[in-house]
Amino acid sequence: MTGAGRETWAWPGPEGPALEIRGLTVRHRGRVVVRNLSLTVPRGAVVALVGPKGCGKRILLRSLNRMAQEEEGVTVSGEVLVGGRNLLDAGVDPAEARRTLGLVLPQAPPLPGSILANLAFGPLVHGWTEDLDRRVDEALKSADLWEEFGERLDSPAAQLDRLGLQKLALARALALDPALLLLEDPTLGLEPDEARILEGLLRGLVPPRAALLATSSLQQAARLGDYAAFLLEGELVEFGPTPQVFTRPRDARTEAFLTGRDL
Amino acid sequence: MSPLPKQPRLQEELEILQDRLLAMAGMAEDLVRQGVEAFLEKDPGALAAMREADAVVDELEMEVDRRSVELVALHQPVATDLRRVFVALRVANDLERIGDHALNIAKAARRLAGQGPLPEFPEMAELALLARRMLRDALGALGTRDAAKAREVCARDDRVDEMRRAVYAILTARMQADPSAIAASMEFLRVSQQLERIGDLSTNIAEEVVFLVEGKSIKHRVEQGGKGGKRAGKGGGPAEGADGAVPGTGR
Repeated sequence: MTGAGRETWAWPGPEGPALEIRGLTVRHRGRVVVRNLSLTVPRGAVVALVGPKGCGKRILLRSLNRMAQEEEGVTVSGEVLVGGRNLLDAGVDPAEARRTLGLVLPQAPPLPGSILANLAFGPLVHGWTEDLDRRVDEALKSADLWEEFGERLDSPAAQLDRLGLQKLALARALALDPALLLLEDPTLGLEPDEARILEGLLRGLVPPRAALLATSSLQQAARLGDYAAFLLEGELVEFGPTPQVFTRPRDARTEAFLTGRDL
Repeated sequence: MSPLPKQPRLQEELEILQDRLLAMAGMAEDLVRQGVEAFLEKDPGALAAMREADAVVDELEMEVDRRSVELVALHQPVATDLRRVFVALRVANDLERIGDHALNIAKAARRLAGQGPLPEFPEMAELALLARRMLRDALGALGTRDAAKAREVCARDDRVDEMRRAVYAILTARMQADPSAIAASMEFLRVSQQLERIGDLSTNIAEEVVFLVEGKSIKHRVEQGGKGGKRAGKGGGPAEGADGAVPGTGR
């Protein structure tokens, strides 16, 4: 694995968690939307974030890879540690934070141009030309697009169906060899059979990476999450192994949310 | 229309559940065999090992309970998958109680061991054989998901009940004729009750197999060509307490 920029590459070391968030606070126009949040994502694990609309899960994901900070009025403090390195440090290039934590958006639109252009864009931006072919091929295989499109990478990306577009969004993130995937409602708008295919794909490709999954589907959190985190008004109310959180939540607010009662 | 893709994690969890249930089934069947042998051969030595095995059966039942709850909470099984979970829960409960009945039979063997030679009692051996075969075949039907075989097991419950009544009549006559035979006869009576319960619980398991395969309940109803068995419910639990006392006998 060579390529320009590799030496500044932030990957978790062989030991320790994939990602550690310490004391993260996010303010939007002065209002606290994520409050002093600390959370550890173990290596190889999927941590599912659940919570009611407006609980802060979306802005949390986007602040980890410094996308939220691009928006006006958003300030972020705390630490986002990958391999002992704080991605929020002023010395870390935001682009590096973004490739380290690969964000997959719901109903992600493709970049203009071909499938190849979509996959090559990220590595080229980072100056990774040397092993571009291998990188593109691996991303296609991991995202289960190889069989169908391996021989016709020049097809326009816009021709893909909804499932294909989500796979492409995943492949774009994977082409940058992320330490962790940030998944924001990755199956939104997909039919149940398509969603199940994408979920199966995600389960297979997360280890040895890790994933932080913000989802509006409790069922999806239960199916995919090794751990579940419940967020309410920007506060991490509960975090634990998914079977525990879903069968014996410790906090009454978690119980109320999961069972659909008033919070 | 193409089918929905399988959910690999759900299927894995269901396989683990099945695996634990079959492990329980093997142990419960073995416990009944050991209990019956200890009784027929008046060998009290098996009891200690049986207690250990029964404790493992109890632990497996709790594991099946826990896994079932998690499976429903996390994977929302439907149709056959859902039935597999419910059947596992109920059969695990039946198997745990079968283990207790086997232990009670071995306890009776221990009590009888000090009572010197006892008269031959072929009817008792036959009752034990019938109950053991019902259990064996119910568990076989569970392992192979064979509804036809399960129905056939349900139909045999009557034969066990008849045999138990015959044993009861013989024992009553014996006690009336020879009061010195009362203590031993009471032990035989208890064991016959335990064996009848094992037959009932085997019927329950067989009914669960039909529910699993066909999605319909045959409990509490007579089916053509066979009998929807009476349920061995809570009230029909082990006839003996922890020490094997028969309710109503003051013992």
